[in-house]
Amino acid sequence: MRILFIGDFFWPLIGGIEVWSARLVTSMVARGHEIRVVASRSELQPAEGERLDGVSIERFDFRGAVESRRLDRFGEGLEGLKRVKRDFRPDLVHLGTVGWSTLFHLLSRDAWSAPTLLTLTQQRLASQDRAADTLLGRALGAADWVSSVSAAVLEEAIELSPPVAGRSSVDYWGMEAPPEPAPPALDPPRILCIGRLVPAKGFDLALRALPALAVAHPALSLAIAGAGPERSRLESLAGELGVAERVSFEGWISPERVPARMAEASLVVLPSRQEGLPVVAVEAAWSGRPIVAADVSGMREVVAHGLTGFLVPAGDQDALARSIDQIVGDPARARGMGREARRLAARRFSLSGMLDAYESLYERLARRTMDARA
Amino acid sequence: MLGPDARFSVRGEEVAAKVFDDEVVVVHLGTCTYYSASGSGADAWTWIEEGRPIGDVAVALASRYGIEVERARVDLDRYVARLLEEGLIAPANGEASAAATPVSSAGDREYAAPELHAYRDMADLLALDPPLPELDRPAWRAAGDDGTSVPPR
Repeated sequence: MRILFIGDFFWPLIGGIEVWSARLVTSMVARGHEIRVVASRSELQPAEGERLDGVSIERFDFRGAVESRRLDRFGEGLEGLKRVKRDFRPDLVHLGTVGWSTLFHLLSRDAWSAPTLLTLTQQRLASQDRAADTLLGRALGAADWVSSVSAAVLEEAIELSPPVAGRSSVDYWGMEAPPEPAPPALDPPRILCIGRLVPAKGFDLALRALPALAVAHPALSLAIAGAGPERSRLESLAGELGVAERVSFEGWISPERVPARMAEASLVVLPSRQEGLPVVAVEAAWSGRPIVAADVSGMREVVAHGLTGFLVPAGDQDALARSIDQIVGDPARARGMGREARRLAARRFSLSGMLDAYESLYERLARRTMDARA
Repeated sequence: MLGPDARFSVRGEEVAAKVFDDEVVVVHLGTCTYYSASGSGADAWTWIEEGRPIGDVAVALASRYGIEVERARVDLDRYVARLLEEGLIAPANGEASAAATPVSSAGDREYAAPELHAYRDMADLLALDPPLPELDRPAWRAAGDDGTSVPPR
């Protein structure tokens, strides 16, 4: 089957969607499908013509065109995407997210007729308070099937566009099981946060939780792995809070190293203000680590409160500190939570489960179109 | 109903528009709201932008799509009202542009009433998690010694 995968950003950029996208398309190639990726150009794009595990990637300046508000820059992306559609003649178009690339897909729909599968990965924005007159609304309306990485995200989409209820499913992120990790060690307690250093991730709340925790657990440390525009602000905040000596900023770590890095941690903390269903939480569960996370959107689908970790109200640094303290102060409970987290991951977030689900959707949607054409 | 001699101009200081094949893309520069219209909507935009009177635009639509002029007028009035409401065009005075696009009168194109699609969430989408600007090496490739670039499974 020929599948055209369209996304905003793609490998080698790092983020939950980018990791998931690359994992999906390369695995689908391994299953015998022909995949072509179209993504927005970025400064980190590989050399011209570079492929990722048999996947051909074409990039156009979708983001730059939209951001600049210069329509003379639209031509390259629009004509380029039309050309790809006509040349590749996909059996199905898979939109990996709703973003600026989606606008170009909608504007080039006449170039080639194929069913569209839309994957929802993020929460609805405040500006998307109604389906009409938004890109999300139009994308939901135009998609033949909507797959969401989270039940909570899908609920929001259905609230926005009720007809989606009849043509949608929840298909969780999946990843191959990392090797069975050692149980979490708590002496000394090591907290790990991973993600882009942007306000939505709420790493400032993790820092603010530290002074209270440090009183009860003098050896406790926090590692923040990731890169982004908030780094200097977070470093300053650690200094202001008097916790700089127990905080390390590790910068970006490659996705391959994430399981090993998590295995060194006692627990993983996700204090996000906004999320869909974070890949980091899935990785933490697979790594057998207790998770303390903000109760936003799909987080409760990967964190079973009281069983695999704790959910706390978003933005509540005191609740965050109390929950971390409960885990750090009870090694037996921490080990039990780690075991349960891995069991939950195996049930819900397996790579084969994700691939089977998408493959089934691909075949069902493509067959429907072939039958209609016949 | 608008008078047949009513004409409009694109609010050029705040609005940019460009036609791509059968589609017009419009952006309100102040709000970063994008718009699109295809088929009859793109045609109507082009003719309105040229300063043609509404009556002429309706006749041209009717001719191109093989529909009654009255029907074209009703649909066109609704479309123009939306363009005005969005602040994309304004009533114009003076003569029409000399370089008016010729109208084919094949009358065999499938007609759908001109419709303006708005995308009001583009600015917020652009503000979502930015890419990582501080990476100083190609991600994922750095982990392998052999230079392969394979994502984790």
